[in-house]
Amino acid sequence: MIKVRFFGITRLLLKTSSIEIKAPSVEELLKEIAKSYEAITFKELKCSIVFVNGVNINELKHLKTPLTDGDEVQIFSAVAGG
Amino acid sequence: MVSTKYGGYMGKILKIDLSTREISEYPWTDEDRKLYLGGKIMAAKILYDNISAGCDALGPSNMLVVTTGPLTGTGAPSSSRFNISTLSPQTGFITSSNCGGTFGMFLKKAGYDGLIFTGKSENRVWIEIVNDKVTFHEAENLWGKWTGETQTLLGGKNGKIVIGPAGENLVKYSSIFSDERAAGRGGVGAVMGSKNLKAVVVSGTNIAQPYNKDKAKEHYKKWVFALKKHPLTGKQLPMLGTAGLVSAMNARNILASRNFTRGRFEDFEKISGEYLAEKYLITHKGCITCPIQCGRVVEVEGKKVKGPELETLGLLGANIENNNLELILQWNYLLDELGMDTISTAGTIAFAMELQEKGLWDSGLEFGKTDNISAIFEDIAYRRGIGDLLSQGSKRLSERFGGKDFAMHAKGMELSAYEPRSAYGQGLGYAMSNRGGCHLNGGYLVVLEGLGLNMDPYTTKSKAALTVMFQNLMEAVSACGSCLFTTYEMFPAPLISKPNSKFSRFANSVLKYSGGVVNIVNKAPGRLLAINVPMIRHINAVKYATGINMTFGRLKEVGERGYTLERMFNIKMGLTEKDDKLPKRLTEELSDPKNLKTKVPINIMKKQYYKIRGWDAKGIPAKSKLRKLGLLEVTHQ
Repeated sequence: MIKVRFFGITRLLLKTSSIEIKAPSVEELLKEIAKSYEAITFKELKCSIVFVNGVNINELKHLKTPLTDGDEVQIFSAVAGG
Repeated sequence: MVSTKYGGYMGKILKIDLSTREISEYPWTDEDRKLYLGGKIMAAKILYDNISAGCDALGPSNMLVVTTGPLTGTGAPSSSRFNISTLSPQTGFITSSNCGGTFGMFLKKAGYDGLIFTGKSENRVWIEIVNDKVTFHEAENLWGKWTGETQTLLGGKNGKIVIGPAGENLVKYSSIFSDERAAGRGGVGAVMGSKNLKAVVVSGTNIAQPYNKDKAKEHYKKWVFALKKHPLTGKQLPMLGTAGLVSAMNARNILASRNFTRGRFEDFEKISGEYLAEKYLITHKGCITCPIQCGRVVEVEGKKVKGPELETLGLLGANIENNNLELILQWNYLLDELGMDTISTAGTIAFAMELQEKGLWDSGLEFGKTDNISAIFEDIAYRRGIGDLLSQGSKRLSERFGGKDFAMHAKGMELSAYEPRSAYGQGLGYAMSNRGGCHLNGGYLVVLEGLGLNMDPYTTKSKAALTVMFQNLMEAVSACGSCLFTTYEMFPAPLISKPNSKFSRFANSVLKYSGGVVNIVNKAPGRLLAINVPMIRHINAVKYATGINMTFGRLKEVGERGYTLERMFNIKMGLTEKDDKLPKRLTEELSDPKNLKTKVPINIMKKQYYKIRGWDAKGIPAKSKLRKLGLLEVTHQ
């Protein structure tokens, strides 16, 4: 199972802080989440900042980044402040 | 009678000498308006011209300069800000503390672009300004009151700035409050207290008229629409406030934890903006004329009060190892009421905790121990017991008890909640900032280094160039009277809302090679960049509000002029290049022992920064640079 933790606006939209799910890649994982929650679409989820085990997927294989049992995925929205 | 040809301004700066009660108009010409615009830059010029080396920040010769920008009160979005600058008792250098709320708008209604307070009143007073009438009121009945009660007692529909007990007792990092908003940093509250001035109340019947009312109105309307549409200013900030940064910073190893020993906190979720929104948020609100509405409203002791910002969450949470969000809400409210800067208070407490742990000073403060914190805050405000020592801040504590390498300040001002060893540009900003350890005055490069965008945080490449550009731009935006959050709308929305797209990945990867191009812009004379850049809406806003022929080049040059003038003020007060530094913890200790990159290579970036700024190896602006900015005569009289 992959542990998925939600942060930022995504977490407020889904009203969920974390779930466990099975998926072979980030892309598939996002599709599964979109199927499970009406509040968000796959297209919107694709626009999240995604970390796999603490590393941004853009430093890995982007949406094609493979996932294995026990991985932790963190899903963020962009932030700024001051 | 407005004595300026420009719109937006009221054309008058009032100088009030509290020693003699003499009231006069401070000379300020249209040429000054064009060169210095307003806000913190206007204040820097006034301070440079009037404050001599050796001035005692808490003595009568120091000036407290309250200024607005030309957009304040004209209906421009997110532009109700006002600025308070002075010689800081905390750093010994300039501080410029910016505040939201309504005071700036009411000051303009009273008919003034700025107020200057000098001297020291013999008795404790508060001052009422209604149009041309200035009245000194005895303040014995208000002295000792907390900031909320003081404002309630003053009453009326007007703009107020007040101090609490911390300002009265000259705490080095005490603040000035307006509504629930704070001019938080640098000890401006202590300067007001040193003048025996408890409060200033302003109101009037004047109106700040834009130069071209129709065009200004049309431009502002589009600006509001753009701010509401942008993913940062239209979604993230209203929904989560700055509190939304906690989780993102933790993921990027930049959430200051345990007095900056590391950038991650195990219990970050318990102090996060998401948790705040789920458990405690009642609603969100904002300053007048602001569509962003970033403020949090929470309940403390049965009252609806302002919720904490990211800085307070991080520094009163992760940095002292406290995972109790409810306590942070209470402490935030208490510190506001006492009139103290949450950042410096929390930073000083964390330093004392590490001193305790290392056996250097027994203060009773310990990481993770929270039961004595509220009492300590009051002790600081009233300068009682150990509170008296804590009221002096980390720098002075380290001079007395040791621990300079882990006293987390720059130029005497405690660092904000961004741990810079995984955001090199932010580290450079802290070291170079004119007012000390401030994330915003430092250029806020962390927004490129993993928060808004995803530039490599561990490279020194282009960081100096981008820091200079951001510092100058933010300086100018602040001088307009605008909130710095309006700058986020300048980031193209697709870069923010589609971080995984090929375009975003490409943009993020080339940012570290952007230094050359950025420097061409940095160095180009303003007149060569006489263009409008539509994404910087402040350009046309100033043009329509004032009638000044503002261009991108001119706005950039105004910012550079301001930053350089503040630097020259600091040099006059004794600053040397040795002051442009970070605590050794950040430059010599790794934040992540497994990652050799996690310390800030400050010297490389500092050298580049000086060169780009046109400063010599000692950090002094070259005469040619001063001449180019029209500052040579100002600074070499």
